Amino acid sequence: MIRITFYTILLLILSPAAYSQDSNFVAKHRAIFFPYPMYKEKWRTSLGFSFLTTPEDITEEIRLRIPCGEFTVLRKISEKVQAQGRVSFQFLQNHITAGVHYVKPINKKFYWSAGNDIGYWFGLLKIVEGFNSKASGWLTYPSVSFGWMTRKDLLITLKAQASFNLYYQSENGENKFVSTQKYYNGEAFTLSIEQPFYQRKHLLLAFSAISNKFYWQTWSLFYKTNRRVFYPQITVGFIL
Amino acid sequence: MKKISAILMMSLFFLGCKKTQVAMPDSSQWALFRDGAAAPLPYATRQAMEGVYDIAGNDNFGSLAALKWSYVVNGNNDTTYHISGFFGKDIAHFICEGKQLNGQILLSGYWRKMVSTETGIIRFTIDPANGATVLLNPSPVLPTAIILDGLFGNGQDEPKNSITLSHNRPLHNGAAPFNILAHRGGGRNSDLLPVSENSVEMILKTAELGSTGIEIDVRFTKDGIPILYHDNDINLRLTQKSGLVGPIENYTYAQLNAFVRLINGERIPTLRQALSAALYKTPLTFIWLDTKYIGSLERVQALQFEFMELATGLGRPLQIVIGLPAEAQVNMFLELPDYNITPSLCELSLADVERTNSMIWAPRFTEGTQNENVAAIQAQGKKAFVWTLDVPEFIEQFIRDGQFDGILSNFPSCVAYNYYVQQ
Repeated sequence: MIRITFYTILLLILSPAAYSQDSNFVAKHRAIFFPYPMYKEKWRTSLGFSFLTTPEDITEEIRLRIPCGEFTVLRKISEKVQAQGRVSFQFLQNHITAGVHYVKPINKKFYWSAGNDIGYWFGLLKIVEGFNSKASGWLTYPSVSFGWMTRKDLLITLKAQASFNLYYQSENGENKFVSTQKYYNGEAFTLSIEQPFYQRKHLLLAFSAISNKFYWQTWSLFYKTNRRVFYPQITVGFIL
Repeated sequence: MKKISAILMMSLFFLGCKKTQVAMPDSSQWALFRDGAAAPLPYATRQAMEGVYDIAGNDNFGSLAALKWSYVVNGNNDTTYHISGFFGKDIAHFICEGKQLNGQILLSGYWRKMVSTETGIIRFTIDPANGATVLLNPSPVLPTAIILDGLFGNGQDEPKNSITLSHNRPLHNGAAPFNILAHRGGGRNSDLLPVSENSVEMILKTAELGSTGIEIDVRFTKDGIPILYHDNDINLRLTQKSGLVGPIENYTYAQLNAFVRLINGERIPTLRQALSAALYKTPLTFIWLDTKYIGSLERVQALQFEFMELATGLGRPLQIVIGLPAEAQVNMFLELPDYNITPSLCELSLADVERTNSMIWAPRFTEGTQNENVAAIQAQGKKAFVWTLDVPEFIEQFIRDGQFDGILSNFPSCVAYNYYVQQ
């Protein structure tokens, strides 16, 4: 993984000599993860779901795989700058991110991007005689992506994303705990595949290896720790 | 596409299988402590050393420490005493043995932070002029200045970082005894303690972590032996690879005893072995038998009465209660003969506490301190415990603002710290 990160950084350093894209170019594919500039288009959206496998450290013998709805929207700011927004929803707990990403072709096959998203999550659990809990928090997610467009129209992207906890608040009944401690939370590596589906719509499939001290989907099971916990996640999406 | 997906899935699987471990340091290398002339500390010295201490010289553990002794009986006339220090930062603690040598008091052991995998060796010296002379007097007269000069290191490194503890005040001890209860005998396997959850070895260790009582999980083997085990199945979270799979109730005790070892190598204990260890070898005063099965509670009730009578015979304060976590267990309990005089702990509503005549109400912490309900229960001469409280900030709030008689936690050392340092 360190080697992959190294090559990603190396490509970013070499990128000033990057391939110059014709602004009349119409993107061949509508991609979400792939760092593809937006020339003629103004919007790209995807709708799908992800499955996170809860780790043994938190849910012990029970392995929960609760589907999480994922809606992503990309908005062109300029040819190489995009605004990105994502809503991850499980109703009782939800996560919203918004950020800006710089996207640049290296040549016709390779592309990269870098950016940052700010995330807000919140959860609510009220069950008579059991739970009267709610929590919320803020995080920030700097990331870099490297994309490879294969000859067979398969878009492969490796995304490296760090996360920093900025704020955490938890309430149980009348008891409340607020932490403004800012700390490095961990990182996530995602390998995504995006491909035309029946020639019209595009399908995305992403595998994420998340190593975090805290992950928003487990807020109700959260216990105080400085230890990293590993969360594998699969995301499936339809690019609209 | 299929090949790439398969490679990714395999990678995620192997990454996910990597388990974190804590390598406990070997603290037995201090030549001074191993000196043949070093002698055990007398009872009066140990008692006088307990207290709340100010920390100076290092901010690794916070500003205060609560020091308390515990013991474990190894056999006839063989008892090991440990002094534990509970800190306010990162759920840190230390556990040391103590000796005296040439008028000095020596403490040798290890420290651990429960929020991480950090650990290391720690040593303290109390010089004659820093309180050792007074403490080693057959009748120590306090208050006196007690200063523990310490060194600690990381991992197996020779300790080089200095830390000084200065006696500030006695341990807080409220009007009524407060129960510091340890989940699963002392903590979960995911807390990376050197002994397994729900084992006899954990029960013997738990007082070192500050516990005054324990919660343990009771199931039955195929041949009707009550044992300690949390999960439904034999699995690699709790046990080493054995070849046995499926529900633990499918196996006889002889099969489990022969083929299954808990994750740190211990045998699955019977409930009798666990109660016996707690009664005869530890200072624990409370045992919560969490009912993890559906069936008759009669055998558990019989053991409960047997061991409470044994404790009474020994003049030993020990309360054993049957836990009622759900409606099914309540119904099982109500079918018992003499259920209304059987000590029990009900996790459900106040009405269920009344229906079962439980002596303790134990709600989840997720509903808050609920002071009105707790006061209502206490007005009936009953007690209220809260479970399973692990977030240090909430532990501090529940002790400061709540009225509970006890807290169940995976981090009893954190509960102990917050309770004992109260003014």
